[in-house]
Amino acid sequence: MRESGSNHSRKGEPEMRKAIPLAIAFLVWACAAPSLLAETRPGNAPAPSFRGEMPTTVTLGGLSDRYEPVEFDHAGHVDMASGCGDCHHQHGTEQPLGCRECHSLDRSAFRRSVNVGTFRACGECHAGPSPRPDPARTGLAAAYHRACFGCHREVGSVGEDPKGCTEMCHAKKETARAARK
Amino acid sequence: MVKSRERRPAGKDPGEGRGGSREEKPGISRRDCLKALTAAGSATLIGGSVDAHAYKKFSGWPDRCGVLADLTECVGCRSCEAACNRANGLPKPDVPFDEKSVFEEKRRPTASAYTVVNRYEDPEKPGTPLYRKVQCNHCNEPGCASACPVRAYTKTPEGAVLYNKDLCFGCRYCMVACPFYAPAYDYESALEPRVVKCTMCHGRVKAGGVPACVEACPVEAIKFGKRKELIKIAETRIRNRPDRYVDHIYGEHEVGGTSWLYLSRAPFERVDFPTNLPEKPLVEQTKGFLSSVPLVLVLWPAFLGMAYAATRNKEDDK
Repeated sequence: MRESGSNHSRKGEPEMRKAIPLAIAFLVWACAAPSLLAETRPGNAPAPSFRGEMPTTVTLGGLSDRYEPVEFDHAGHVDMASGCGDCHHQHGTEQPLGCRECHSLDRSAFRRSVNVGTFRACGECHAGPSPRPDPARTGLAAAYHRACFGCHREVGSVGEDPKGCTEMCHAKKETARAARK
Repeated sequence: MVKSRERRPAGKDPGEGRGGSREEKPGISRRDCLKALTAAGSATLIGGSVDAHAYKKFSGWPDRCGVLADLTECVGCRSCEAACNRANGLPKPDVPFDEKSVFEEKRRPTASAYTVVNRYEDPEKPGTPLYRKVQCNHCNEPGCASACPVRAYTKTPEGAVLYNKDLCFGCRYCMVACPFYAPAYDYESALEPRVVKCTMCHGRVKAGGVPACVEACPVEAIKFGKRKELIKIAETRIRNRPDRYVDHIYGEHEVGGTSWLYLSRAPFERVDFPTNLPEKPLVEQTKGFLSSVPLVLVLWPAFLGMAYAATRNKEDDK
């Protein structure tokens, strides 16, 4: 809400006049959205039309000090997952965040992101490494790991066998260096 | 203690009079003697209660830190064990840190491993075992420190309980006193006694960092922070996910509270946490008795000596 306020003041429009149509628009959207989503995303699965906008491979390497970066096969996981919410804890998850915490706040982007399922970068909420991280928030590395372990722990590749970390996702730096030589 | 010291000169006065001149022997009458002893006795009682009162008032360092361990998040990767080993310069283990065979038995911290992770099968969730990290819990009122006869243990304002090997003479009372079996003994050197245990990486914490194990945890199953904040976080997690957690923060009240706090999805006794511990600090169990020992040692000889002096004087008069 605070951010939307600053948006409006930037445009130089009075707050109240803007707020009423915005509220009406939101109500209309709230009524229409369930049917809209049901139409475009049957069974909560990403519709084929979104695929072109999705990353196929994501390199997760911003945190690697002892390990090689992870080449994450996003497209492969999209095929396996029952919906975006399996990994992105934003839609259809146990702890949904407020809509406005993720979606951009100007109207066109809001509409676009609802339809296309745009996600904010994980790092915008989950902070990177720091000497003393805030215990109330989950850091970036832990957020990634928890997302992976949600499934991979139960299939016995990680946790049951700690070696799985290096075999499945990221090789240790020295091992990788030796292999390259 | 203070009062009894103040009273002592008054008690001595008649004695000095007696030493001053032999003629004034009756100066120390039985009445004076009894008066002095009663005064000393009541001072002892008052002194004891004053001490106990002051002790109760101190509810711990306000900004003390701790670690919140969430057993539901731990995946048993043993990164914490490896990080602890590196940070403390401990010897290389016989079994490497990525080996899971160690989970076949329940381990305890040793002189070469300040922390260990144990695995527990969960009958309610087969295939998803629970992992419990074991190390010193850094009690608010440490039993080890109260048992140590040479004060080799210190509770720091940051929360860690530290051990000073220069003071230790190897009695190992601390190992008996600890309800969590945390201190281990280094049996390697017979001449230099050394108890070893987790230091909650006190140096790193003082420098503004977090313990090495916390830093290494890939899923943040262990989180470092102010103990007060961690309790709030733990309460929020239990409130938001009552299906996921047992409604108890282990370590919030056990033995007067510990710096390490735990959340679990299975009852704590199932993962080998001692659940029969009192909420009062262990220090309180023995404090009354132990604080009376020096007083008894001082007062009984004084009482008997004065009784002897009084009766001898009477015999002399006859």
